[in-house]
Formats: sequence, C-alpha cells, structure tokens
Amino acid sequence: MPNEFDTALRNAATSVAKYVKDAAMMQVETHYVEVSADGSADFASARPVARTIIKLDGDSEAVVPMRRNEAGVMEVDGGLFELHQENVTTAIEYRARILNALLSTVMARRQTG
Amino acid sequence: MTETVFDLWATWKAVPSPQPDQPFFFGLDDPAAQEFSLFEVDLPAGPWSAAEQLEAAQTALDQAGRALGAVPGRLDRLVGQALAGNLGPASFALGGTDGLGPAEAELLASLGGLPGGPPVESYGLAERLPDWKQSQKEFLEAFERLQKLLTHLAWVETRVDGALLARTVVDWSGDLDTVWGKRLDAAQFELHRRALQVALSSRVALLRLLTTVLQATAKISILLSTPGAQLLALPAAWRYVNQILREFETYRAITAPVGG
Amino acid sequence: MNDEELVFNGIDGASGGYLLPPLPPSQIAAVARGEPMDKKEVKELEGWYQFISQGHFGVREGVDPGDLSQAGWGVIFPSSADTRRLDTLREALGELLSLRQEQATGQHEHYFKVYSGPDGYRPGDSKQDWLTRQGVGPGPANPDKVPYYLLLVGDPEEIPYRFQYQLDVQYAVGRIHFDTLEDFARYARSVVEAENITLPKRVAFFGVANPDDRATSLSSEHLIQPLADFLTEKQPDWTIDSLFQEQAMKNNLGQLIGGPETPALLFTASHGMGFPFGDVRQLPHQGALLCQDWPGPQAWKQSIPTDFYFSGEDILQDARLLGLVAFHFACYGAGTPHQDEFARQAFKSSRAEIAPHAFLARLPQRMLAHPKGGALAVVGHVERAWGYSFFWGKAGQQLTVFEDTFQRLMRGERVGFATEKFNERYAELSSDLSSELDEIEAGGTPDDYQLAGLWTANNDARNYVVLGDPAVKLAISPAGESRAVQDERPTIVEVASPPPAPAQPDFTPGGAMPVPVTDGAVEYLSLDSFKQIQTNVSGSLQNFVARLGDFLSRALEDATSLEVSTYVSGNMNAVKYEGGRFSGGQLRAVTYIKIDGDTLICVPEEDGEVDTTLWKIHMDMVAQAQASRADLLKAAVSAATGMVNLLKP
Repeated sequence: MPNEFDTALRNAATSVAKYVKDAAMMQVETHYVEVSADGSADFASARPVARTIIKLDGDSEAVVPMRRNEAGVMEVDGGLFELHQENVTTAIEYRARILNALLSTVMARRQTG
Repeated sequence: MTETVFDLWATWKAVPSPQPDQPFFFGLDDPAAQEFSLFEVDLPAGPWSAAEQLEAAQTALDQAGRALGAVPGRLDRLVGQALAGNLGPASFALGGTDGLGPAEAELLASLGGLPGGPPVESYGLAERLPDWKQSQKEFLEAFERLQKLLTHLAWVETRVDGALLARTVVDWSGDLDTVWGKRLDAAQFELHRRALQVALSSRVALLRLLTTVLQATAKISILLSTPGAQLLALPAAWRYVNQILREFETYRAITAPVGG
Repeated sequence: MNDEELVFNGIDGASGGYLLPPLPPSQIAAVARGEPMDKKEVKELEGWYQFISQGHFGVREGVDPGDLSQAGWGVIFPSSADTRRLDTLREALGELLSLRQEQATGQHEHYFKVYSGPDGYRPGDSKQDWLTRQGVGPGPANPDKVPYYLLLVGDPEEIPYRFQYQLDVQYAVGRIHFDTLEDFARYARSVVEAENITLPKRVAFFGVANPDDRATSLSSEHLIQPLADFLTEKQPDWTIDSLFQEQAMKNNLGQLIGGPETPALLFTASHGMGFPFGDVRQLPHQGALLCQDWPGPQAWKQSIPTDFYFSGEDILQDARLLGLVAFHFACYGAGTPHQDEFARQAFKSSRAEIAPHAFLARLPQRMLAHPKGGALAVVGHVERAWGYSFFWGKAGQQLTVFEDTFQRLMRGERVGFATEKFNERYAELSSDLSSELDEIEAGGTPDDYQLAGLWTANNDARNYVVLGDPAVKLAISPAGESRAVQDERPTIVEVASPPPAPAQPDFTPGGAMPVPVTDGAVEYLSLDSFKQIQTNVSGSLQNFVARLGDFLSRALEDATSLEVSTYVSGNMNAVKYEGGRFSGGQLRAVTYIKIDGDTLICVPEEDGEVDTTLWKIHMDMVAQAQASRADLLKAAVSAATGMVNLLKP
C-alpha cells in the first residue's frame, strides 16, 4: 500500500480525536475594515466587531456590537450583529461537515487496513 | 452551455499558464502552475436564458449523481445472477439478458467467459474485450485530466455575451479568490455564483465518477478468474459507467424526480 | 392604541425560526407610510371599487362568466419567446387550446385569442400598457376586445407577478409554467379529460395549529374552522371533511393530495416554508406546507426537516389528482418573488432579494402536471401570507371573502371568476388605504394599528393568484343535474415522452471528437502487452493516490486555513494573479476558517455602513468554498481508498 496515503489515513484517525477536542470550543470573530474614498482598504488595521465562542455542548458566549441610537441609548447594532450571526451559523455548519468528512477517513482506514 | 454532463466536463479545459506580459499571469514557480484548468462560461445576455443554461448544467450534474448511485446496485444484481449460474452462453445475445439493461449485456459480452459459460483461456478474457486498446487509452486520458483538474489551480470565469463578469481562482484545497467587476448587479453576481457552484460541483462529481468506476471494477473483477484481472476490468468498468450515465441522460424526462 | 403585535405566516426552514418576527403595528405602519403608492394604479382601483360596489363584477354586464362563448378565453405568452419555443409550447398545450377555442368561439371567432410575439407580454409592460396595445382601457372586461379569461404562460421572471395581480383585478387570470414540455402537455390533457369526469361533492379542510404558534392558532380558530362550519350549514349536499390540529399531520395531507382521500376541493391553512437566499432547498421546497408534525417554536429550535412539511417531492408517482382544485393559505404557497420590499423597508436593510429570481412553488407545479393526471388549479399566495386578511382587529373575523369564494366554487363557477372576491377586496382596501394615507399626509393623526391592519390586508388580498387555467371549474355535477359519480378517480392517458436519442459515441474527455464504438475485429493481446497495460494503469493510480494522500495530510493540519477573499476591479483586464493574490483589484473582504472551525472574518465598511451587498456575495463564496472543501475531502478519501484496494496484490 502506498506509504503516503496510509500515513495520511493514520494521521487522520488521530486527528479526528484531536479535532473533536479542538472543535469542542470554536471561536468566530468578525472584524471590519474602513474602505476609503479611493476604494482602498487597509486590512492590517481591521477592527474587531463581535466575537462568539460556541461549545459543542451548546453553551455559547458572545461579545456583541452596540451603538448609541439618536436618543443616546445603547442598542445592538442590528446590521453588524445579524452579519456576525450569519458567520456563526456558517461556522457551525462547516464544523459539522468537516467532522462528517473526517469520520469518513476513519471508516476508510478500516476498509483498507 | 451544456446539454449533458459530458458536455459539462468538457467545459473544463487544460490551459498553459499565461506569460508575464499577458493579463492573467500567475507568477509562480510551481511547475503545477505551468498548466491549469479553466472553466469558462459565456452566457447569453437574457437573464432568463442565462439562468436556464446554468440550471440545465446543474440538472445534468444532479442526474449524473443519480446515475452513479444506481451503478453498484445494478452490478450487484448482475454479479449475483452470474455467480448463481443464471447466465449461460445465451446471455451473450442481448435478448438473452432477461431483466438486465443494454449496458449490462454489453459488459457481459465484452468480458467473455463467465462461470458456466465458455472456458476461460489464459488471457483470453482480455482478448475478448472489444476496442480494448481504445478503452484503455480513453480511461488513462480521462484519469490524467481528472488528476490535473483536482490537483492544479482551477480558474472559473463567467462572461455574458463575451464581457467578463468575474473570475475565481480555486486551489486544490478549496481556497477561493474572486475578483468581481465593479458595476455588477445582483443578477450578474448570481450568475457567477451559480457558474462557480456548477464548476466546483462538477469537480466533485468527476471524483465521484472515478470512485464509482473503481467500485465497479472491484465488482466486475469477481467475474474474472485471470490473475491481475482487476486492472484489466478497469477500462471495461469505465465504459460501463459511462454507458449508465448516457442511459440516464437519454431518459432524463422519464426519470425526473418527483417534485421536479 | 392597540399594542398587540402582528404575526405572520412562514417558517425559515434553515433556522427553524419565523421568517418574520412578530412586529408591532408601529413598525408596519411606518412601512405603509414610507411605501409610495402608484397614484395612477390607486386611482384606477378606487374607480374600480366604486364600480363594483354598485354590484358589477369583473366582466361587463349581461355576460355570463360561466359561458366561454360569452366571456371569451385567451392565452398570453411572453413576447421574448422565440418562434421555436412558441411552437413547441403551443403544440404541448394543443389539447387545451383546442378545447377552449371550441368553447369560446361558439358565437364569435374572435372570442378566442392567442397573444404572442408583439401582442404578447413585453418586458416592463404594465397592465395598462398591454391593454392599450389591444385597444382597451380601464373598466370591466369586454370580451369583444379582450377575453375575460386569460391564461399567462411563462415564469414570473418573464411575466412578472405584478402584471398578473394588476390584470387580475378586471380579468380572470391564471398562470402556468413548468420545467418540461411534457408537463405542459400533461396539464393540458388533465384539464381536457377532467371535463368528462364527475367527482363526489366533497371538500376537505386541513387546518394546522402548531403548539405555541400564534399564526396557525389564528388561522385555525378564525379562518378554517369557521369557514368549514359555515359551509357545512350552507352546502348540505356536500360532504365536509375537517382535519384540524392533531389530525393535520403530514401523512394525512398526503391522503388528501393524491391519496385515496383526495377531494374535489381542498383548503389548507398552515405555515409555508421559506429558506434563505440561494439555499439549495429554496427552489424545490419554498412554499411547502408545514404540517402539525412541527412541534412549534418552543420545542423545536433548529432547521426544519422534510418530515415536517409537505412539498412537491412528497406527491407519489401513483397519486390521483385529476379534477382537484386546491386553495393553500401559506407563505409562498403559490410562488416567491425576487425582491422583498417589506423587509427592506421594515429593517432598513439594503438586502432586498428573497431569492435569486422569482419562481413558482414546486408543490402546485407538481400537482398540476402529475403524469397520472393533474389538479385543475391551485390558488395560493405569492410572498408572505398575512394572517390579517381574515382577522382584523376589532372587526373580528373577515371571512366573507373566503365564504363567497368557496360558495361560488362549490356552485360550479369557474375558478377565475370565483376568486374575483379577492380582487374586489384588494380594490376596496387600496381605496381605504389610500384615503388613510392622504389623511395622514394632510396632518391627521395616524392610528398605527388601523393602518397596519389595512396595509397587511391590502397586500394579502393582492397576492392571491391562480395557478392553472382560470376557466376550470370543479369536476362535479352542475347545479340542477345529477350525474353518475366516478367510483375511482381516473387517470389520464400518459403523455408520450420524446423518443430516446440515438446511441451516442463513447465519451472521450478533453473536448476531442468522440470515437464511436465499433464491432470490429477483436484484438488479441500478447503477454507483453498485458504487462504493459498493467504497469501503465497501476502507475497512474499510484501517482494519484500519492497526490490525494498529500492533499489529505495538508487539509488536516492544524495550521491550514480555508481562505476566501473577495476583490473588486473597475478594469478586469488589468487584474493579475501573483503570489496567491490578485493585484490590480481591491481586496474587500476576507474569511479565514481553520479546520476546527475557528473563523476570522473581515468585512468592508464604508461611511460607517457595512457594504452588505458585497458582504452577501462574499458569504456566498465562503459557503461554496466550505461545501467544496468538505465534499472534496470526502470524495478524495473514497477515491483513494478505492484505488488502494485495486492496487493490493
């Protein structure tokens, strides 16, 4: 059997266990960058907007963007927050898909071993 | 743009990397970047027609997926009947393959001797494969193209009436870099998004085609007792799976799924 | 002021939440005040309302809307349909066109019309533009000029929903559009064959009331149950079947849509399914009917599985639908528009697209074009269904429109005429809404609740459409007659599919000319040839396995990120790709996703506002990249495993 693939599959099996541990806490950060009048943007000076930490057991904590409205009262910046929430949803779905794909590598190991 | 999934796969073209003075230069030293795969669609100006073409391409891919899903079951049935001795010399006549499709009948005919059929001669099985060299050549060419498609940079371009809307560079891990024309409207964004989706899906579908051919090879080789039969069965499996794909496309209207 | 929040039908299948949260009247009222009303259209509607309030209906006085030789029948194609497409469509619809021509030309040849080419619908046409070309102005339908019954043939991108709504005020309008010519032909045959069948007089009501859900609790308590009670009393010669609440499960609905309990007339009230822009489920499942199987928003906080809702895919191959007329009260039950102006105004979002393009709901399409015989018509909602069409604040239930419509249907009136009541109500409400807004503009004090109610009721009344030929009617014994009823619902003779294409040559990849299969002489291989083949093939396989192994290793490394970048450029020809990035373009958004899901996103903000249009596009690219990576990972492993097994000695 070709060594590289076998090695990769062995590593994948180990990775799955590590992955579940790492993915147990996932962090999603949204930053923003100001686009200037000439259309350029300095990504090195991007500023954070929101951060959500999601655990596999369902617990989550979030730092959400707030802004003062016309009355001076702090309220959630709906547009940015909605955007951040989309990112969180996408990240959760992606984590699930990758986990599923990784599990298939473990099954493959069984088939070829 | 596409009538069949075969047209769709033919849309991918192997292109030599442009030179520094040309607009789209990679500037990479990686030999793999000396040639890359281009998926270029030039859609008609009418939004409905453009969307229809992309939808037709997606439909062709979905149909191919269904066809590939049908292959293992059909082969299991064929192998089961063959091993149970339900197929004899008469099976080589198309009319004798009761309950089996034309693709199965042709596969049987091409494989030659079966248990209970004519005696197996040393390498005689391979010798009965019609267009054997042609099948092998086709398979190796397709395999080579597939490797390049999956391991080189891929470049997806969407044009409408010749005008470039957007360009996406995809590396083989899936990283995407996209550059969009500045004054595109929502419909135009959507066209490239869909074209990209078709392009990426077609890569996965090709890989799936390969997997199906490999599975088919393993099943077919059960019917051959010649040493090294598996590799001989590979081109036959390639022809068989392509025939199933063609069969499904021919009867697409009849086999359309419930709900459309 | 009434602070009660207004609830809307519609569930987001991806998140499991509501398509729109309950909203205070003030927010809807703000939309109503902000939305410009087309003055010309309103004026016409006001005039129309005055006319109909004097007792005149859609077609001019003296014309019997039930008799096509008096009312006329026409079909409108998009002007953009080329000759070839037009010919094939007319051929596919041939049986229906012949039937209607025979029925409409009993007295006058010109009472049957086909509007195509320059006479068809032209892009951008308003109703009045089109009517003016036919030599007609506002006012009741005059079949001498334009038939009263008009069938639109085209999808809502070719012939917009707005045109259908506007034309439907004066005329009896329906629409059909299918993906294949066979489906057009099936529908045409179904309508023709249904003319000769007689079904039992049975109507079924399917009323969902999901736990903890106000919208369906409203529709169950204030629409469907009282409507069923009313008709039970008023139509004693009909059998009324009611499936409410715990009986309104998906499998029961299957019995009513193609199963053994399929009635002549069906009314369902439920949430309709909605999905995010571009979601893979959006085209096939949007508008599907969410059944009692959904345990409600408190008990279920995740995406909605297909087990909970009834879509076109749930109609069985052997379903019997011939002669059915169905009415669905559900969001997107008939179709989805491209843009969502309400959400844009209500939430100050620049994102207005609901879907990549306007489309018809798949469930009614499948019902109408079933291979065994399709339904005659499906009446449903385009866009959201607003519960306030039937329950409006202090006035209580406003069921009259539904009661009248159903009585007409059950009397055997044609569907396009029977649903005139919704158009009358739309005209009435438009007139009231316009007056209310005028008063506010003149300095009057707005009653947000009244305004919100008027606005939602107005939208709701406007958005009911008929999918199918508006001239169809229930396949029952006509009034005063007593025909023998079919024991079993018949099927249509199958529409012939096109003959299979001739055998294609072998696929040769790379775009080269394919090589045909020949039955030429068999080649005999030498031992050397066999060994050479074995070496070639195994060499290729091993090379590929090595590359896939490399891909797998890299993909699983902790440090590896999936990177998605979005650039824009004013000159695409000036863009170069060097060192893994575009130069000559401006980077706008970046997302880095590690294998364990940790994600870093950078979004563009201009003048303090997020460029949401670009952001949406970037997120679409992210979704594609993620899907592609995961799919490739899985597919690569399968392929490599297969190759490894093949290479085993």
